[in-house]
Amino acid sequence: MVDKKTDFILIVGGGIAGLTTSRELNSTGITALVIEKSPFIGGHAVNITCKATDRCIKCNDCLVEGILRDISVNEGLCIRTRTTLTDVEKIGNRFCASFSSDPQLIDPGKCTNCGLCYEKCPGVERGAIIRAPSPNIHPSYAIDPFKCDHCRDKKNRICQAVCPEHAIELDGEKESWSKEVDGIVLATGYEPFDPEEIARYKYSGFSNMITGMDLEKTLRSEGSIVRTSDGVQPEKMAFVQCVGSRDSRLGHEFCSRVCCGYALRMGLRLVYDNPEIDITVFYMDIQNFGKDFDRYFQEARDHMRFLRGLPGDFYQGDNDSISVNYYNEDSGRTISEDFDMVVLSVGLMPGSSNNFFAETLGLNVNEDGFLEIKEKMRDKGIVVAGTTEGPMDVSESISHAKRAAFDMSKFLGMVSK
Amino acid sequence: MDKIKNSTPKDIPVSRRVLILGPGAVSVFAARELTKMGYEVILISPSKNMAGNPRVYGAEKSETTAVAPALIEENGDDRLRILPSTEILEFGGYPGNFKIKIQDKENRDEIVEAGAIILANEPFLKTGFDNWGIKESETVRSLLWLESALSSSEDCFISQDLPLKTVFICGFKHHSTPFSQQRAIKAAVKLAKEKKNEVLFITEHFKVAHLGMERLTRIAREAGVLFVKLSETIPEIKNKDNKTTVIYHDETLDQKIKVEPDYLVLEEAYEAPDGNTLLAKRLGVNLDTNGFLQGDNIHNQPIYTNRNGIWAIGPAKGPVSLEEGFEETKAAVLDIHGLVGQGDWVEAKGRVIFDERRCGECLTCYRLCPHSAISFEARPIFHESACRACGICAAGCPGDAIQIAHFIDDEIDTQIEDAIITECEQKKESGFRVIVFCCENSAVEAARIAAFKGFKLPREIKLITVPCAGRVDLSYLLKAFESGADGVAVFGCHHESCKSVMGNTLAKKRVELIKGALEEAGLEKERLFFGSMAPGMGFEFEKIVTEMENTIRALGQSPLQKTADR
Repeated sequence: MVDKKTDFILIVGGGIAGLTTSRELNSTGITALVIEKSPFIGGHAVNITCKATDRCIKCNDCLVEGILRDISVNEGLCIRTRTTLTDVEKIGNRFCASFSSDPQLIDPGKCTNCGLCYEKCPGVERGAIIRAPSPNIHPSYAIDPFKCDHCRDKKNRICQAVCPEHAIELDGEKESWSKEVDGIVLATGYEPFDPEEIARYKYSGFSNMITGMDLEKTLRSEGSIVRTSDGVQPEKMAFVQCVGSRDSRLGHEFCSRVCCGYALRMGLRLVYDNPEIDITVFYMDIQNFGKDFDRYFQEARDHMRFLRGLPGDFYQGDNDSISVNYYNEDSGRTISEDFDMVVLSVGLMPGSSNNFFAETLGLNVNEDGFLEIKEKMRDKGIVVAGTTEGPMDVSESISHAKRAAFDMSKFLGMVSK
Repeated sequence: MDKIKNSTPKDIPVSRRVLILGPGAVSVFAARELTKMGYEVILISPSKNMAGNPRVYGAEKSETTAVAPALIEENGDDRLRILPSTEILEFGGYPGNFKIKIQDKENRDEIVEAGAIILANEPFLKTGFDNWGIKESETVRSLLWLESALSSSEDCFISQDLPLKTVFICGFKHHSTPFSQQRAIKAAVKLAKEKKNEVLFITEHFKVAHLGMERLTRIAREAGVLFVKLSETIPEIKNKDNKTTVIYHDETLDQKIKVEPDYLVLEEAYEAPDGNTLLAKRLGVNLDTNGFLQGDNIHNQPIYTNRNGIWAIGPAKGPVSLEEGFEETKAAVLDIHGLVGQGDWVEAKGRVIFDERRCGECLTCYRLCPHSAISFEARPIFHESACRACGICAAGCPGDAIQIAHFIDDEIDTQIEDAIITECEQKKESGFRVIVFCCENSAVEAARIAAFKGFKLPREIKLITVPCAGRVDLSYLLKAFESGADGVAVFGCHHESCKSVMGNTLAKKRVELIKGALEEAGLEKERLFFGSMAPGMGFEFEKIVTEMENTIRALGQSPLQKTADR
């Protein structure tokens, strides 16, 4: 148990908001523990690709890396991955938080990110050892126990044997533990919309239909995009906006605020990489994204085709293309057009744990399902950071997280004189 | 190193006073938060109205705008000075200790000190009657007029016989915002519901990227507001003999529609305040393309400017919601607390090393510094708290009087020599050597990412880290060629992403300059190369390096190298 006199804050979620909050709290002299359910910190934002062409188009990817770098050099930070919060109980002015941790397998204190384990593992192909999306994430490697030969049948300890730092321990056990904390920062983030929820997209039926987030990830890790079906670069692509957002039938009466920005920026990047590419954007309304919106939108209009109205149906076309049915204003009827690839600009949905927090901590979720922030909560020592509160972009998440750190420091009496 | 005498001051005095530029709810909120924390605050506004206009944020009123008059009443408290109708005349000093000359409307001026500056002035709401070639009249109105008319008791929207027709036009001649549309739709709902008006709402895009806006458009539709969205065309407005006609091309029906409304309401554009250009010049802060007080540079995100100690928050950067404005206030206050809240003195980091004896007092450093970190009092003074250690001054200094710690000229020279010697040993097999100066903010990161993804840097290519491409001296480039490099490159940041605003531009210029000199000396200009990249461009780094490798391989050994070998 931690010394009662030391302020100790729990940050749930190791995405960009949680990490920023921990960095800021740390600089005010407050110790925080960040727990992250996945093996890597960085959250969704770390999969964002840099969209620079011959100039910066302000996609915020480098802001994410900047924060990861700050985190990696800050030794005062306490981060525990593969850990979830299972329960919280209020004890007097403090909270008793219970956790469940899967074995870390790679000891972050010993690992030097040499990558030898990744090089030697016979199961890398199927993902037994995975590499982080960024070299600024430490450790940069993680073992997936479900795909690891050793974890399955207790043999093949190659990685453990080759690790020069003895940082790998494959026999770890799941652990349940608890800790008393003074305050809680909820930074669990959002869930990308799952297009399977809308039947007409037939998302799993098309190999060449991907989500905007898939495209981010692929451009980041591969540098270019090819069709899953044949490995050929697409020449004709469609972006479909507002997938899952602004959809009253799904009960999603909100705009996800980031999709126009990411789709148009990725479009500009694809046009820059291949000026011959033909890009169509199906949209309802284009939303402002950042300060210099006008410039990028104008540029995007010069290089892409914008069609108002979302498509109706999608069918398998020739040569693994996707036939998209949409209303054509010129002819006044629905027409069908083939695209090599279709990118669904999926929205930012409320995090799956919001209801759990609402119940265990007595918080409210708003009409859209995001956690609602109230002054009252802060006075109890609970603050929200980033997209847990609603859709926002990276830059907004950073200032939102700084606000969370400010509120928490204030709650602890650290910033007042 | 004994030649260099460091004349940089060691300690920096820090003022616990913050100057906030208003007017508006966000500036008042910032003043309140800071005074609550025990800071002294000077809140100034060039306008008489300190509370600003809540409609800027799409709000009708807010808790804070209600608090503003009360806070202004409190004026008299030593810690809070509220100075309406006051402008910034001159601006000097450095983070922790700015000196600001302010002047009130009676032309009385005063010099005040402040440790930090928060810019939170509000956009200016401008109705573009001129843009449409019409004048404001009894039937042609601004949204601001409508809002105040709707909240007054006088009723000019109910007709005895037929329902009145109102047409709203949002955008087209300017970029609409969620905040102006929130106001317009709220007014439209009121007209439709309470005044039983026939309401037509014409816009390019619903701006719904704000909490509750999507629902609000549904509510408006349910209230009977008719929405028309135009993608390719702009409506036509005619106003003759107090009769207004709006003609637009309905895209779904593919026909021209003519409406004769009783009221035509134009949404305002959210423009940067008139005084920003002059103010920016005085503050040394860059403006964005729309004239707001935060330059278009990724490193200014979310709340920073090109100057340390000056924060741009909420409305100063463009249209924002009140919530976002408040969030950014807290974020800035947290930073300010870190900068000036820890006591009266901040230890200097000693990043700039200045040798007075080499200084020719030419003012080049002073003119070049993008962060206003250098002042001049008989000799240059380098203000550590303002300095970002980019080394643009060091590269520009004709007397080599300035050095940046960890990037001292002699050290770089040694690195250049080492690179050549090491490669020289391997030369037998490869036959060439290339030196690449990499900006640590972009190219170094891109190289790391490339390496992480498995890219093996050809051993003929040697990277030398610089704090900014702008640090690359002409002499570095010459030195590299003289030492026998077959190719030299400078890798800096993309346009609008240089942390030091113009380091990349300067580097590019210098590369072009040396290219000319190379040709005169009989070297191919292709041996020198400028590459721009973002920190995330690992693949591009690999691509550029490989291209360069091929170019230099094709060109073969530098004629200078052959001489050097002899």
